[in-house]
Amino acid sequence: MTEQVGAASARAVWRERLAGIPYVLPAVLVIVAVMSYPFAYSIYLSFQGTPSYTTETHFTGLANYAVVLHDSVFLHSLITTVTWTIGCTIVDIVFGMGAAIIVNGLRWFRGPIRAALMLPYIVGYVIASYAWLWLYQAEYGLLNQVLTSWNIISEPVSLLSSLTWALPAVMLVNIWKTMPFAMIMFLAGLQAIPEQTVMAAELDGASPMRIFFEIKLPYLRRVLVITSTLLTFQNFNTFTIPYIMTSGGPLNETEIVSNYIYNLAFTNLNFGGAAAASVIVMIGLMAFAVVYVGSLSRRQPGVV
Amino acid sequence: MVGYLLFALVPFGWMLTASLEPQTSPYREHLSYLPSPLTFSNYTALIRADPIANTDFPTYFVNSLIVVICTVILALLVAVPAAYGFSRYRFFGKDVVLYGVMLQSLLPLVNFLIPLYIMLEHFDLLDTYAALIIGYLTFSLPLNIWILKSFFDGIPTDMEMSARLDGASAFRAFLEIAIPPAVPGIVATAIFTFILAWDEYLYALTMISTADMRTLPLGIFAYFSEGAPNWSALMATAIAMSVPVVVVFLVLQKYFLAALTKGALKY
Repeated sequence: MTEQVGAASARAVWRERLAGIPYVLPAVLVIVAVMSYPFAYSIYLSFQGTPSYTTETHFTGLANYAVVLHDSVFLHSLITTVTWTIGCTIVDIVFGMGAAIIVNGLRWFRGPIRAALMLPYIVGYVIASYAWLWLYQAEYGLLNQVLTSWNIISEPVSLLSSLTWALPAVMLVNIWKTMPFAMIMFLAGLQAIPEQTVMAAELDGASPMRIFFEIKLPYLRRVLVITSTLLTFQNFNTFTIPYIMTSGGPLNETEIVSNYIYNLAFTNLNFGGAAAASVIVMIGLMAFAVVYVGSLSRRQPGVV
Repeated sequence: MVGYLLFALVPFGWMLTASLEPQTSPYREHLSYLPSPLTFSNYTALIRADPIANTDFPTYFVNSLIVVICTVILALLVAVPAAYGFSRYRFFGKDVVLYGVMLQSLLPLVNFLIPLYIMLEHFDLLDTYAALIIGYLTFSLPLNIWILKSFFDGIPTDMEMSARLDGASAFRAFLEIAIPPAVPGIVATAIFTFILAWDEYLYALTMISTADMRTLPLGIFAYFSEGAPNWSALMATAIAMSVPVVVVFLVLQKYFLAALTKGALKY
């Protein structure tokens, strides 16, 4: 009798376990086809000699990796990417937080101002690139016109062809585009803080600074971790801004790793080398993701 | 606050100024913040293809619209049931699949580009709308699943339960009971996909080779590379290109912000 019930409930459990499959199967199949298979294929490709992608490929072991890892342009692009990613993410977070606090404290026009601040995020990377290309433009861009007319500089400068200024200038464009994302996330975080807690602290005479650091910031911790991680990946993965604005120049100074991989594949037609470079990047990103998810779940059991 | 607003809006203002001027003179004597003389010719010129500058705004616009709308619909068709399945059911390997999807979606698009390019070439699909739509699924689908799952997670299950007890099939309960309250989430996800796909550059750059197939982000680049750039025309094109996303955002802002924060904060 009990065995029968056990078997029936086991069957029910199995039926329950299988019932979800039809819903997720189409999505899983599409993801395998357009993401997982390409993912695996590029690992395969990284071990293949591909003089040109149309001709026969052959196994060459780690040759592609050796070539890429000995390429100073690749190593330089990795350093640039790390600088770019860390720099942009920190500025995004700090100033995004600042914007969120100010917007959150607004009594009037909060909606319209928030919408206005969101615009750079909405219009996207392509518009951002062209808008700033025009702003930085040497002869009649706004920046040079203002700087020369205020006699801060005597001659118009071409920021994007300057070895010193090209990278910061391009990073600023990316910050312009991505900071609103940080702002929106922190706004959502701030709005989730119970008002009584803040009011109680205010009644006790705590300064705004102390309220921020000791009450609001702990509440924002989770949002902060998530936002900074998402921004790290988002910034790391940028391609469009450097491609449109500088093509990686001057002298590869603004070439980040996505641009390097793209050029290797589609300018030099070295698909194997490009695949090896992307596998190296994948390993790095995966390691970062695993360490991040690991540290998060250690600190907050049950959250991830 | 004023500083933030200036930083966010000045680039747009400067674009607008240029777009309302006749072809920007290389020898502007003095600084002018407002367009002089004022003209709308850069905008009216967009209505038709320009054989001299070799640009064709209407075609780019239609191409973008087709690709983006197909991507939005296709991603939703696949992602809505998947998100529901992930939210409501337990099955073997669920977490592995879910986090696998998330992890892959964090990789640079250029990593998928090379193998996808070879695959699409094999199926003779390069330079078609299909190539772009398939490519765009690589970023829209994981995002759609993730955001929609968080919306379904927030909808109580009791209505579905009672519908099931009344004899409705599980699939009917999904279609008729679970989907209606999820509509705001679906709208939000659609806007998100629309905004991302409208701006997509890398796949379009690689997979599109004929001028008639260019989407807007590519079309605008063509403007730029034809000899010395006509900044006024370029800025008018850029502004015209941003109008659809800005309008969609302003009208449906509430939904969009919900998608952005809800999906992300669920990680």
